[in-house]
Amino acid sequence: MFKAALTSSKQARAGVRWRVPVAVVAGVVLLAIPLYADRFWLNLGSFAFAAAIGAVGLMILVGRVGQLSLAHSFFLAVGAYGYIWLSSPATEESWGLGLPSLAAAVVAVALAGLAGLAFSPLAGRLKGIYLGVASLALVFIGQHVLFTAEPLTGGYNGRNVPELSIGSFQVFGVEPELSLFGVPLRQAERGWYVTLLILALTTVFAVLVLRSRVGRAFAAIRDGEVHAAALGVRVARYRSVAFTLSSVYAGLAGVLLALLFERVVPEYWDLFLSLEYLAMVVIGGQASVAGAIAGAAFVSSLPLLLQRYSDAIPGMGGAVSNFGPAYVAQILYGGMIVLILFYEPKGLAALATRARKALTPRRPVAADRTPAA
Amino acid sequence: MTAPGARLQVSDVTVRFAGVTALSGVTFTAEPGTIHAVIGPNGAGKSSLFNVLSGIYKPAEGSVRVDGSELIGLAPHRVTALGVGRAFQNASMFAGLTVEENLLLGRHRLGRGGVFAAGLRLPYARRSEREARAKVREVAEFLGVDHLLALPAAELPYGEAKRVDIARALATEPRLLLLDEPAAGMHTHEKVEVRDTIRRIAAERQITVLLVEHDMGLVMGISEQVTVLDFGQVVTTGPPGRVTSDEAVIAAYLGRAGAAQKARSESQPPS
Amino acid sequence: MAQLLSMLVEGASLGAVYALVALGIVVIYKSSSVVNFAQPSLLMFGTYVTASAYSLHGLSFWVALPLGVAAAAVLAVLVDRVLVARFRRTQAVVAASIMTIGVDVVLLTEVDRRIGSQILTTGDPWGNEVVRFLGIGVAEARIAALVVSALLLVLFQLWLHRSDFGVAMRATAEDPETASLMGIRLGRVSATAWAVAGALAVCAGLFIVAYPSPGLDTSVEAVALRALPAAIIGGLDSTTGAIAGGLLVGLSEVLVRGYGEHLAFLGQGFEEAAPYVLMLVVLLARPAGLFGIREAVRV
Repeated sequence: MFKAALTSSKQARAGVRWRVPVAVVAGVVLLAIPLYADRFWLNLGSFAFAAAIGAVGLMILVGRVGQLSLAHSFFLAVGAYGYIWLSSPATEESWGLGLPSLAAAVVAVALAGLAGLAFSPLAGRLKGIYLGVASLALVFIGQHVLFTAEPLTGGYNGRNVPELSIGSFQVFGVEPELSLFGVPLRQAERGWYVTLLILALTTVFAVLVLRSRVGRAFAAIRDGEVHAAALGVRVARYRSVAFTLSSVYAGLAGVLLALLFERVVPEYWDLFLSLEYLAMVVIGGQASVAGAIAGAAFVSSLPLLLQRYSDAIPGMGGAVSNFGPAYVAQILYGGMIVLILFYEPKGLAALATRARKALTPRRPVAADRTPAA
Repeated sequence: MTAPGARLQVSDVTVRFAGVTALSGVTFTAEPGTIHAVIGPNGAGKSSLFNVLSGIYKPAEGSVRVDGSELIGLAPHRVTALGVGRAFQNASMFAGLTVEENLLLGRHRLGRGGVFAAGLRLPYARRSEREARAKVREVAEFLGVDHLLALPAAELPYGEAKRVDIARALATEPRLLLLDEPAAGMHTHEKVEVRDTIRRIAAERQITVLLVEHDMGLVMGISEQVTVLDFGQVVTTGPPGRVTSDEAVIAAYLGRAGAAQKARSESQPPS
Repeated sequence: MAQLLSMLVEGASLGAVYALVALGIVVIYKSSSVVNFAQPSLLMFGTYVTASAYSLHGLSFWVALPLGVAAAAVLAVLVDRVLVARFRRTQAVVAASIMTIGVDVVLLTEVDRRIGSQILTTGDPWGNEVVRFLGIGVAEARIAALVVSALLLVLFQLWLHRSDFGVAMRATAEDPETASLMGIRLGRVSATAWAVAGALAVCAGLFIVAYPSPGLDTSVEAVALRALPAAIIGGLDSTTGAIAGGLLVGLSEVLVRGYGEHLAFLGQGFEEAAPYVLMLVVLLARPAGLFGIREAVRV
């Protein structure tokens, strides 16, 4: 038993050694990609980064606190539509506050957080799966509002998303012209860099929170709420803190997705979107930040890749087949939720651990390191 | 870390579950800085009593005072803030965390910093974190578990987990420490260690210790006072010498449960 | 008054159908602590088997019905034995419940693909003639749904109270470890619960596709999903609660639709959100549901 314990703590330390160079290489590659890749891949990346922010938020709730939420699409929608409402000028048919777009983006994220906070009477008291079912309500209430509150949401037809600009700088646009190593930085390139930057910042924030006393309280609630309470952890409070934090992340992802879409329609923000985010978290291994990001990249790119290459995949292309990209994508990640929970609940995170173990030369653990009992 | 021990006054505590009375009019007092044991056969109500004392159960009637402050009706985290620390019967570690993180959870209520302070690395949160780690190391050294700090808690052997659990309860800086069967499932030499540890806690830190334990040798060897529970009622409270010779105790407890006790100690799982 | 009365009958009829689905969720929860999110997909699957046997293969309803019920029951048992059973030892009920979400996605996607844009009928014997009584008119299909569902619910409750399975299920819900020590085979209890849940879901599905929708199409799954708020409203661990929750959800839906013009400020189609709003209200007042048992532990 001791041997095993020492070995794994050693490996944990070895993991830290690996982490820095891997992060540096990954960072350089991610920064260089816009210089070489075309629009398709850059858009794919931007969507994946935006989704990853949402996935990290859901991971904190599901993987670290053990609380299930199916309301993620609702909070994504609050961010997206909140931004549209705050930044659009008011017209005869539609509401708007006409705030400067950057302020609108920030306030929209805060709105999502407030919506999460408003749910805390339930988010704090309900546990695990119970919260999952209760949170379904937000999705259906949200869908109802999106389809019927026309001045706010544009109803069935949706609404255009105003551009995000800081002064005369279009964050996701073309003005003013910029270039890097002779490559012009237009919409796709800017989308890549901006979403990547925000993902990096929010990831660091999440990691710091999870390593702090707040993160420990989360894990304690997940591993044993009664014992956590007896040690002085305010269980209900931390549950609602986690729910609010995860809704802030969802709101931010929603704002970014709206900006990338340029126009949003209500049916996108349905229960199925929540299940996609859940799939990202499960595929990533439930409790891992890096895993959630990888899961988000996988789930959000899958339909786009299938669409692009559907002609090359036998049985998928053509007008007659009803095995369309959407069908294949849904079967794949529905199936992956099942298979990963069945075979490897630690998901992609476990693959990374295994790769690291395989790459780290094993050193025999000296018997004299075993502490006296 | 030398907060003086608290006086615990339990009066007329009654707990009922769906018609079953788990505790009925339980009354006793544990004096500051003493070791006070609660014994009784299985099902006598010891666990219910501990759950009342840590705010997890709310009794139907009665009062529990810690240095005069009423504990009944407080949420568990407020009970901890009153200075009540608890180690658990089966030494439940938070399995996803390291030993150090488990101990840091004991410091949770004494730490500062929420989501923003942590995510933005604000100075006061970092200072609080540094202090917590130093205190945790100190407690770990006091109980001789400092060499385990970096291990994942899930991989601790049972005996070590029991000690880490006590360290975690001590990290909350209690004035009253509840120990729920600290020697259960331990070998003889480990029991000696547990006995010394409890004595040191009471002697060096003046913490009041309330102890639930089945091992009579341990209980009688270290306790100043012993309260005997049976069927949720107090049979008697007194010094060990008097309790063991009490007719009612022998009849109600030792006579009936002696056999079960013996069977239990023989079938202890290897740690 | 007549309008209200006819809405109450309609709501009770729809509610009894929801109760059948919700009862399956509760029985599974009591016997394995898993919330089965795949219940709507089991309903869709079994109903699809029945509807396609009738519409596409020309079998009579009385042959197609047992086929669909059996298919859903067998599939449910397979899900339990092959997938969910893996989590029984570790008691990882959240993971097991999330897994049923994956099952639901896969199964629904495949059934949806097969249905495509068709509307399949099941050839059920109850027609749409209006029956008049007490001054109101109600479609025959709705009366049939109410009578048959009520009968099934009563029989089922009796069975749960009298049978060995009922005792075993309640003992398991109380304390699985002790139940197991007393000789109750947890695997068998759980498999029985899943089979029953699958069968009940299909019985409900047959009434849902008779009314309110004109046949089996892909919109039925949203209707089936309302069994989840029904189960939560009643309390996940109470079979009585499932029936009460089902009725409340059915009534809320029908009443909101019926009084639509007075509720115009809530927007059109609010009846689809009403069961979920009701669930939130109930949970705020009683976190364990109307008939659920509150845990003694406070944290």
